[in-house]
Amino acid sequence: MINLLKIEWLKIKNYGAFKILAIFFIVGIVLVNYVVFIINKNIVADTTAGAMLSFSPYNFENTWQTTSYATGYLLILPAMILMMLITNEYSFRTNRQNVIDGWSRAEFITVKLTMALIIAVLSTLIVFLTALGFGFASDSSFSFNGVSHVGFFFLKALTYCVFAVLVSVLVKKTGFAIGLFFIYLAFENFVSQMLDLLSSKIKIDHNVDLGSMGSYLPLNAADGLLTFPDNVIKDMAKGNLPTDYTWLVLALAIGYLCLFAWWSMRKYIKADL
Amino acid sequence: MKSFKLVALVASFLLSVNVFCQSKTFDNVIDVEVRSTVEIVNNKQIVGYAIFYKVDKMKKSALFRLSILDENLKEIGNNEFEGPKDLILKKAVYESERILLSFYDEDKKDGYNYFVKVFDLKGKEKGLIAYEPEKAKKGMFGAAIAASLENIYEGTDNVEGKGFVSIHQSKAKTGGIDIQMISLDGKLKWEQTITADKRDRSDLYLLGSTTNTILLFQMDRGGMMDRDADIFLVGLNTDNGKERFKKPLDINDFSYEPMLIKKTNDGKVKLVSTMADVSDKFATAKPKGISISDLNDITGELKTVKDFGYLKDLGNVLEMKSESKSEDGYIKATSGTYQLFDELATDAHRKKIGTLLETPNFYHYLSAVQNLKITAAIKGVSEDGIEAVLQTVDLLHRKNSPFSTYSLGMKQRLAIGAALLGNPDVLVFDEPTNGLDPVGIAEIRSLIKTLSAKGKTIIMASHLLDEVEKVCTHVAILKKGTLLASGSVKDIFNEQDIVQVEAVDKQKLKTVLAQLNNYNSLTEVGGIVELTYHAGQANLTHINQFCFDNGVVLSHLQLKKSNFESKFLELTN
Repeated sequence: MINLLKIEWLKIKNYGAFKILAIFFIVGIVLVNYVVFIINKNIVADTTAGAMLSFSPYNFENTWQTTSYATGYLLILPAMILMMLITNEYSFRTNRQNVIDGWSRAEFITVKLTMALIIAVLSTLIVFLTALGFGFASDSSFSFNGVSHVGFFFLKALTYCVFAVLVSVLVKKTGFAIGLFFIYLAFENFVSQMLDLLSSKIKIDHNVDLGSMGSYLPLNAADGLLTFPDNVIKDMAKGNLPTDYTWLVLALAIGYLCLFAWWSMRKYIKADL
Repeated sequence: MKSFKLVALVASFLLSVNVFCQSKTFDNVIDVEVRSTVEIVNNKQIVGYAIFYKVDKMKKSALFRLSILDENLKEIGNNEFEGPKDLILKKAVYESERILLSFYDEDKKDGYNYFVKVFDLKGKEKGLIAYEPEKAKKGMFGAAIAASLENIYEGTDNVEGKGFVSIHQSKAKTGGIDIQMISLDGKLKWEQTITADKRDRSDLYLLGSTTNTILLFQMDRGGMMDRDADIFLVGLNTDNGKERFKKPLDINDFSYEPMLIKKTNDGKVKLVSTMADVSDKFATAKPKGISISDLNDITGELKTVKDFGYLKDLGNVLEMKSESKSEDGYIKATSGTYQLFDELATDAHRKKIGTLLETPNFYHYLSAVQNLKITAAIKGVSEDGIEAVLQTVDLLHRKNSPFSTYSLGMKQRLAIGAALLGNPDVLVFDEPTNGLDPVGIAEIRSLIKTLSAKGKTIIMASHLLDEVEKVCTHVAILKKGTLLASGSVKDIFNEQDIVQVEAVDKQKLKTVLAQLNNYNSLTEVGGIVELTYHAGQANLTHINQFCFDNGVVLSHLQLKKSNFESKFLELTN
């Protein structure tokens, strides 16, 4: 496997688009969090309402969740990197050439899924360090409480990356793959919002709590685990909102993840190269 | 002048075409670029090549050099002329000591510019005829179709003894083509637009031509996707462009591919079409064919219309393919196994074989060296061999340029280089000379021979019989998964002399001929007796004398040599 990854590194280390997107992503993580941090510190905290809420998103405990949540929006970038790497192989027909030269089909798709894992791990590491940095910068005492959110971030990053692999293997064309990824994301978010509203309505009208049904969809399952830190406003609305069945959503997210990985494996091994 | 030469030296060193620069010397060359190499065809057979270089750039135009090569790649003529700087040579046709070249220039500002030039074999220009699409009215279909189907509608062909014909997608509202007849002295003889009379749109294909008639396949339809079409075989008088005949063909419910025209040795015209029957769903579409033979090129009368057996077989193959596609995605062996290096084949065996299949597949953004590093890593061989293989395929001077900047020939050479990495004993090449220019083809063939001399086994798939004859030592012919023949090239394609003999008294002729002693076989085909001999053994004088002495006067005596192609057709049918 180490040898396979070395070959993968040979493919990407001189790839301009990869470098640019990677830099965008890393800088983006720090920047997005910095903007939220600054706004909160200089504007929100100074207002009366802000002081009344006495809520600081980058204090320890909160910092793990805030950073994970905010960075979640940038996960499209690593997904794009993966889609470009895989669809490139299709457009250059190097996926065939690699197999002709001696790889098995399984090796090819396994190394791509491993790349997804590595990108997810690296993203998580950056998020962990960023959270740590902003935590210390907001003058609060260190605590590992709530670090599980970084774990949820890892799950979400992995889900996005593996989903990107699946889309690339299914669609094969760079533009189509990235387009489809975005369209599906927008579509699922829309359906998810509808389902969430429906959940609230069912709870209020019939007093049946089915949880936030929007979170049961493939990409939103991983999303649903990552929310903005609880605060006063959220607490006030809680009575009317359906319960978050975290364990159910977590199980679903892992289930979807396995499904994506298995599906891309099967598709690649069975498909006509 | 000195600095000029220095620039020339540097330029020729840097340029990808240094192969050409070494073999040809140009005066005052500062920048040479091969724009295109095209085959010169006559009745769809290659008779030579034309190479089109850009030799000097000026502000808005450029100086071009045209080089005309014969079949053996020897330059027989050349010319230099000025033209727009992005000019490309697209096609070349030969007829009666004249060559018609079609040029295309896409200048975004002024629209495109299309013209043909007629040259003699020495390269002297005889005439230029421009094509002006703006003359016709721009229509709804015209523009869109012209953009997407340019290749189908742009065509040139020779008219035996009379000149050339050149066709273009017409900009007329109802589609169709503009057709120009060009005489051997490079003048426009006539010009004609053919378009749909009754339906919305007309598609036309140039099938070919006889001395009397230009044959077109016309499909008139009611819209872009409408499959129901009125189909005609149209013949135009080569002398004045007037319609000789427009014969409706009763082949509806087909999806249409243009028919091929074939002029047989006995002077008859045969037309063959390949068409898919799309009345079923796409996945089960069966190609159907009809052969329309013995066309009278004056009246358009067709003698026989019948189903064509070969295409029925093709239908079965495609049907099988589409079935297995829907199930598994790719075709799997239905039975049997194969062995590599005397073992059942595994993925690892492929690492020991150098393979080039169809097209060169590399990472476009990486250089030759970076690409070969990947190949070496996959095959598990050392990177040390990279420089050596780049040397072998003559790419060392461009080893650090990105693959995307390579010409087709260089890409193909790099692919062969990749196959050579790790010094494998077995090499598999699928159509290695595909898409190469004549010089590239010659280089690859000599490379294959060199490798073979080093003791490597090279397995090559090719449909170019000429190539097989020149390069291979052994040959195997497969048809639908069945091995028809295998053995050394000499054994399989043993050349024969065939002597055709005819006389009034057939019975007596046969008895007399049977007394000849050195022939291999004697058969009677349609009233003509055929004798076969080993290559070079037939002696017509002797046969004639022998028959005459024995009281038979011959009415027909002809020597035919069976060649590679006829032998191949004999084996596969």
